[in-house]
Amino acid sequence: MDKEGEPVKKQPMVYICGDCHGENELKPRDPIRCRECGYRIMYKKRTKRLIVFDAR
Amino acid sequence: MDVDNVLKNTKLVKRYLDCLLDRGRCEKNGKDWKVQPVYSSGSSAISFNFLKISEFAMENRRLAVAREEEQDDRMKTFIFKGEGHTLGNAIRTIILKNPDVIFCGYTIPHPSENKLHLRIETKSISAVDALREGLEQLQNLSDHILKTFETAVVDYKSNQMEV
Amino acid sequence: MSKSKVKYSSSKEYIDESRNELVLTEFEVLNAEATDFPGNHHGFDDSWSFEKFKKRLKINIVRMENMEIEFDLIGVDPAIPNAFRRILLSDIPTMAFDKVFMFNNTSIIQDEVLAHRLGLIPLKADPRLFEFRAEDDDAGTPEDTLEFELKVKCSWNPQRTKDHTNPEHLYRDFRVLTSHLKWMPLGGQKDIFTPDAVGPVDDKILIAKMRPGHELDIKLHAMKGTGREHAKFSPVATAFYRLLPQVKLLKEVEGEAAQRLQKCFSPGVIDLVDSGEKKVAKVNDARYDICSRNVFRHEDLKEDTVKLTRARDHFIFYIESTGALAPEVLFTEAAKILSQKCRVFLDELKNGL
Repeated sequence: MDKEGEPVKKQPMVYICGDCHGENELKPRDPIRCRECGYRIMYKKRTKRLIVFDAR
Repeated sequence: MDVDNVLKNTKLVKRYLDCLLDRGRCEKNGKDWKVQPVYSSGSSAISFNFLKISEFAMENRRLAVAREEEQDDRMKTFIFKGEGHTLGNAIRTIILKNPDVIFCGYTIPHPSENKLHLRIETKSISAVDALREGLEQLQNLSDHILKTFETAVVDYKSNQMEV
Repeated sequence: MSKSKVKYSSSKEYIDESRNELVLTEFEVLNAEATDFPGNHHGFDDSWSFEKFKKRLKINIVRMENMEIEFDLIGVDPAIPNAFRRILLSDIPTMAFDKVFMFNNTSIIQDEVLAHRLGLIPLKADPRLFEFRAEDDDAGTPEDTLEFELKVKCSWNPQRTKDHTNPEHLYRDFRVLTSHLKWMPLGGQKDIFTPDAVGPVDDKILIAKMRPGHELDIKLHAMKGTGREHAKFSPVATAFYRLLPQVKLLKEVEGEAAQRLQKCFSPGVIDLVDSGEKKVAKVNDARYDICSRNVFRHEDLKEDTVKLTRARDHFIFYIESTGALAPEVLFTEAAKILSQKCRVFLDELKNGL
């Protein structure tokens, strides 16, 4: 991947399996596959950024 | 904006001063007053700003007279800012009970403008006096209903205790 | 002029009635408009007098419960109870959730829908102990803000068995209720309030449903507002009044006709009384009649048999609170607000126009 740019975060991303809903840590170049059930569709987790709403 | 009230509240005075003297954040009212005089140096800037404050205070009155060209004191249209049918119909009813009043009616000219127009025409007294009397009567009425209601609640509670 | 068949023996009788009663006829309501102003009726003094008003005014409480009150307000013009009703609906402030800080929401209910739902939860906090938040203030102070936290995570029940399908048994915390809301006291609030005094009026209000893995992490700011701004701030579920119904029987109705007459009104309005061999209809209590005017559907009962009216100045007032303030307190607050509205403009007049 991009080596000259900013230092690539070593922290692995956590994805959610589309079948068993288990959490999977995936590093770049890892096979996209659930460790629990082998399902191949993964979803990103929701942003942790704060969103403010008016309760109206 | 009620200047007297602002001046009583030290917290608010500080906030407005901070705004005028560029020491802190400005809220909407503060920004309106903060007109930079073209010619000024130091002290005149302050007086200019205070002039602006009193002008603003005039604009922020809750009660005004519409059609000021009307010469006759016995007929006037009052504008109540921030009021609607709640006060409008009540005050209209009570002013109409005044035998000297020929006409009294109210309207809300536009639904998205929070304003109430109340017109009073009288035989002899001034329209302002008719309005003042009406407001006093409505206030007394409301206070008396409050008192009567509170005694009724006490009576009801003591009756319930006995049962 | 009306085409009604109401007959009067003299104009005095007509004027007396039009000043005191609304008449319900088959197709119209007569005397709906108030005419008791000076100069309208010869021989009547309709000018305002506080002493006269004091004598005429009667308030009688009929029923008072935790959330509801029913009382009679007698001897006022319709504009007065209507002003009170409007003030109850939109001018008395309460506390309600207004800002929702969504840190996490993985449930299936969308952020904005959830925020709206949270806003509608009625709170017990006494609005009189709080101030309105300044418009430019986003952070809030202990004087104008109540902070709550809603942190719920749904999980599988470890003790679940395979044959079960009941969600109660399968999951933990799958129902998010108002009891999950946790009050976070700001500043010195801890010494002034108890969690029970500021929290939701009911701890079993359903906010959302979740499944294992779903999670809510929300911070909420409750602040003071009025129903004029948003209906969630309204302190009443409803506040309304109606005029006292009156039913008068003009001639004796007996037998089968009496039974039919009874069925035309709400239960308890008409009684059947034994008179010799026949049953005779008698008016018991018209207060709770819904004024359906069903009598006018019967050819034999519609003419000169019964007169339906409502008292002009007898208002039956109902207030149903949402729980923040007791219903009797709400009415006293309404009266104070009406009085204060007058004071504001009297002060304006004092300062000159």
